[in-house]
Amino acid sequence: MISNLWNIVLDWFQDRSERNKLIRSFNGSASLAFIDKRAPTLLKAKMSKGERSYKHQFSSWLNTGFRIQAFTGQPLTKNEIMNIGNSILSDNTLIRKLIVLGWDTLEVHGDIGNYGCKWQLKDYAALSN
Amino acid sequence: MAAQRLCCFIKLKTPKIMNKNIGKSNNESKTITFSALSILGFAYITKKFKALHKKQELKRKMDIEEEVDFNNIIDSAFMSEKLFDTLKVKCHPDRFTNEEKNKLAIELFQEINKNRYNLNELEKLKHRAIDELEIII
Repeated sequence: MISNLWNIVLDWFQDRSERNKLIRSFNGSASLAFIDKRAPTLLKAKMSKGERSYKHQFSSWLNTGFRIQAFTGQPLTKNEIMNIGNSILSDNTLIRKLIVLGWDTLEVHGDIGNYGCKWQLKDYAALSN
Repeated sequence: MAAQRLCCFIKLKTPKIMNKNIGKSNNESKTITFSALSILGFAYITKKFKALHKKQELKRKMDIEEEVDFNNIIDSAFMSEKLFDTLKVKCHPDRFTNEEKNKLAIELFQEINKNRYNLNELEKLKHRAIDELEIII
């Protein structure tokens, strides 16, 4: 009983640090790509509230959304949003890591306008493979 | 009379003295049990902590082995579409009448469609197409 509680507390802290580490490494490589002119827009990942209907059994209590914001200075087209989203979803390891760390929603949107896209991560985990 | 009084005094006093002694021994036993329990608790916590530390190390090793390539993901988000479009046109199976090359083009075309949003894989497929299909991209 006590050991279970102890494990839960430790896991929570560990998952939290792992989540922050993943976001930091994503933001680091995104800023490097922007500085090196490999990427025309600066991407920034952060935690968001997420979509309640996309929940799965590993979803965390709070902040279940992995949000990517693109700083373009103009509204993103649907094609651009889809490209960013699909390039993330094509990496199976990343998707599995996101699911294990308690995220269930991937959100992509620009810095201007209310338009954005949401994906349910569970659908892209390729569990049968 | 004096002896009787003394007896009464002893009778009255002895239980109090006895109780004091019992209290002292109780306190000692309490401190001993408390210290023993605290030592045991400390040992249990350190053991648990060591086990968890090992678990965390294993997890970290797994993380290192399965490192996510964020650079490829970000490059793919902006550059894979262009390469996909060129490869899609250049490696289309209808362009190859030779049976062997046509089969190879079909295989490559399927791979290109599968890795549409993965720049690293598309680059590999591009080199494969140049070598095997003998085309200029």
